[in-house]
Amino acid sequence: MLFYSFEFLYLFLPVVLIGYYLATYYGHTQLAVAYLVLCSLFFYGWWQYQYVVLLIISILFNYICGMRLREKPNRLLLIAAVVANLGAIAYFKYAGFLVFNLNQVSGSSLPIPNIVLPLAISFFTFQQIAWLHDNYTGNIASNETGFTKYCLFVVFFPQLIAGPIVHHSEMMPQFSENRRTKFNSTAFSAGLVIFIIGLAKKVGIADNLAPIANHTFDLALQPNQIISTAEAWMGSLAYTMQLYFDFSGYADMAIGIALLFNIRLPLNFNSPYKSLSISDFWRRWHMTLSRFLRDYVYIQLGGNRKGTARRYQALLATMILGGLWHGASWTFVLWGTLHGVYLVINHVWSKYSKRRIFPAIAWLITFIGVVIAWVFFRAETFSSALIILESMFLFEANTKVFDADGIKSLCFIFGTILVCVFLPNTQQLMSKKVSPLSIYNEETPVSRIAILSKLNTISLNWNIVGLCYVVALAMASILLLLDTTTVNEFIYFQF
Amino acid sequence: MLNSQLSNRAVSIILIVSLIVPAAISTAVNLYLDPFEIFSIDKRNPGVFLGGRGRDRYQHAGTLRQYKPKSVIVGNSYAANFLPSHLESILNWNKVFSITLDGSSLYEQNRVLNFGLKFSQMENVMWLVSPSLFSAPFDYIYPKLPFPEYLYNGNHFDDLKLYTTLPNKIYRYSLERTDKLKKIDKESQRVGSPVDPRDRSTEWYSIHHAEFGRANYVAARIFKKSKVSQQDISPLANTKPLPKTDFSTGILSQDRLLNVSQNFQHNLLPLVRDYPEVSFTLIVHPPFPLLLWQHLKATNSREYFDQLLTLRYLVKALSPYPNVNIFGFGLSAHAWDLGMYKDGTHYHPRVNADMLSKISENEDTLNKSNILQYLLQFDAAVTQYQPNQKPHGT
Repeated sequence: MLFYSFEFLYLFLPVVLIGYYLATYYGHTQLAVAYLVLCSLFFYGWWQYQYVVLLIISILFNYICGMRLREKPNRLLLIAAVVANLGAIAYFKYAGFLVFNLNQVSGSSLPIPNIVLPLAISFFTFQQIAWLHDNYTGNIASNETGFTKYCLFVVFFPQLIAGPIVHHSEMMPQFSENRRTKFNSTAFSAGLVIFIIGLAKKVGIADNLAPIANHTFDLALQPNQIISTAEAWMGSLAYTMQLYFDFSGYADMAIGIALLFNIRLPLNFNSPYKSLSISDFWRRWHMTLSRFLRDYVYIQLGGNRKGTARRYQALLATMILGGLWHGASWTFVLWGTLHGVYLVINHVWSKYSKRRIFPAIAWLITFIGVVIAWVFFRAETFSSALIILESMFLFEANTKVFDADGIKSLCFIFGTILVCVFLPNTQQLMSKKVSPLSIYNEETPVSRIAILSKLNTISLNWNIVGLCYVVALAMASILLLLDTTTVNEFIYFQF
Repeated sequence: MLNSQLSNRAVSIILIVSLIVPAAISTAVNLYLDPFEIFSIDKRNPGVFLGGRGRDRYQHAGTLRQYKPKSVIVGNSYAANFLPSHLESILNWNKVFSITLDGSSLYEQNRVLNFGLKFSQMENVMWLVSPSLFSAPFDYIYPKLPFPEYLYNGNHFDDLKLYTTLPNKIYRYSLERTDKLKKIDKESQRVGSPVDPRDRSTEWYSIHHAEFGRANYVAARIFKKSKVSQQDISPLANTKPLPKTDFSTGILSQDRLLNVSQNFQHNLLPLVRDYPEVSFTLIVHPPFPLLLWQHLKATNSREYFDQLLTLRYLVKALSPYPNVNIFGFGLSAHAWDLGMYKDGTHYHPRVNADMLSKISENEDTLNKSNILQYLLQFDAAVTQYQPNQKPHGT
């Protein structure tokens, strides 16, 4: 079930909400949590019923290991448990890739296994690895135990399939606070609004950018096709914006749905395309993944504690692993490597150069760097990525793109860029409601207003005018959904 | 007043209503219109069937649910001109409906037929398949026309998906239904007797009748040229010699064998095997123009022989099943006459009528013992074909 499918919106979600609040109304908090766990497993099973067993085994295994590590920290046990988790990901996600490359390098012809990837394995595995590590280091609070709470932390359906990657410390205490399980009208209404904003981002913007991006990237796969400079830029910019609106739309929907249950999920995006540097970009893009990579990979590799050279190596290694996490393909590795190189350059510049770059130029450099990297991220093959990049930077004329449809697409793409750069994001729009709720983690970086700061202080008013905007958005989104003849899955589902 | 703060409860209620109301209204309107009779028979205009490219995929779900046919015609547009009333009168079948799907693959035909067999007490199935259908992957779905598989999985909840859409599309189909009824009534008045609406469900001849009788145009389509002159339709004697093959020992190419066997295993065999009480009349070799086959043999002999070897595969694989009668009409007299075709593969309804007549007389059957001879005869006819030639014995 996708969050914007009719069976989710009108069947699953109402049933889960009613059951949950009925249980809490009669004081059965544990039952309510258990009910959410079962519903979440049902949600997962709707996608792939055959992998519910794998999910349950993963939960049991990690919970038992975590409890053992908590009682008696044992480095060997930690390593074994982490290796087992990574081994599962390696098998399901990378076995085919490894065998394929082994065949290429050694000339062997080993059969390439055709293994179906369990949905969300990267997400729920990373969450549990963090829990294992923190049990070992003793960074688990007393209100973070309990098998049912642990299960819900792993499988809670709003974040199960595509994040945000939640940390046990921000989730498990919520399941034990009695006040959290009670109905909170502020959270409920805020959750609805955030959900609607996410829905509009997905069906109104991301899904309409997809055909523009797909056109260019599909063209690049065909032999002897010439892609004009305009087409190449349109396709890559369209994908840049599609990915953001798709993923941040999903994150908004996840946060909104969680709030309906009075549960707070961490922020995942904070206007990344307003960044003035790559370091800033990674403090705003997929923030929960960045947090995990920083705490459990970068710092473990030494971080900035072992000298500059080691720091840059750790940065590069972390970003390469981050790329590989996204998928078993060299294009993802290259994407991660590019960002690693960008970060190193950024750090070197910051350290050794006294010059400040004019903000608009800094923004442009950052944005173009990100766009270039996204070309590798999206392209199915290395060569098709190079074809697009070549067309982007070596002029290839084609006036066909400037017909009526082409102009419309161009305006749409630039419109979305303007929205990203100049307008407030969801949490800024919700700032009048967000503060009382404190739904976002204290560590969340304060949003830096890049350009035209006044626009970014606009927020939704909880009055008739404000409500009219949201109602219009809701109805427009539902009408767009009704008009859809194909189902567009979220891009991050493939991870 | 506009600036006064609203309570959270009011905001929540209004937002929930705004999420529900558009979908609820759209679905309610669509359910009321229900042009494909998915949920109930249209009491205002019963027995009107929308067919043709795209609509057929939705219509047959309603037809099978509401009308519970005892006999069906299955296939793609090559079978669409078989008229249910003709099958009833010539073959003495009961309650015949056409569930052909234009442009469809074997997989799509299988899904629709499978649904029909499960939910109706069927007695007879006429299924026209061409050998080329077996060259695609077994789960291939024709990409240009969406196939609503959810309508054929037996899950009534899923049926709602069809109508959770903007009402304008469903309203348009509803208007088409009314138009179709008017056309049928008009035709009935013109011919002086009622026209069976089932006979106008999938047939396309009434729309394309003017496109027949143009032999040169058909030849141009076969040769994939914009037009052809008489000398282009030259006998094969003027081209290089064609390869020979031994149909008794020749084997399908590896890729083709995989797809043929998978299509057979997944799309054909389960139905034949699981419904032994149903009589399957299988036409495996439609009467395409001999020029088409000749051109194929000259330009892609491997494909030509793969298609003919597919016939051999099917006949042999289906021989253990007594509920299957196989027919091959490749040597039909019409195959010599390009005027009987609209293009390289779509024939005049007279060809369908002749096929029915032969089926009723049990002529042109194919089985294990005669398939080889049939293929040899067919190959000889293809090789020796010359334009404006009449078939032997005419």
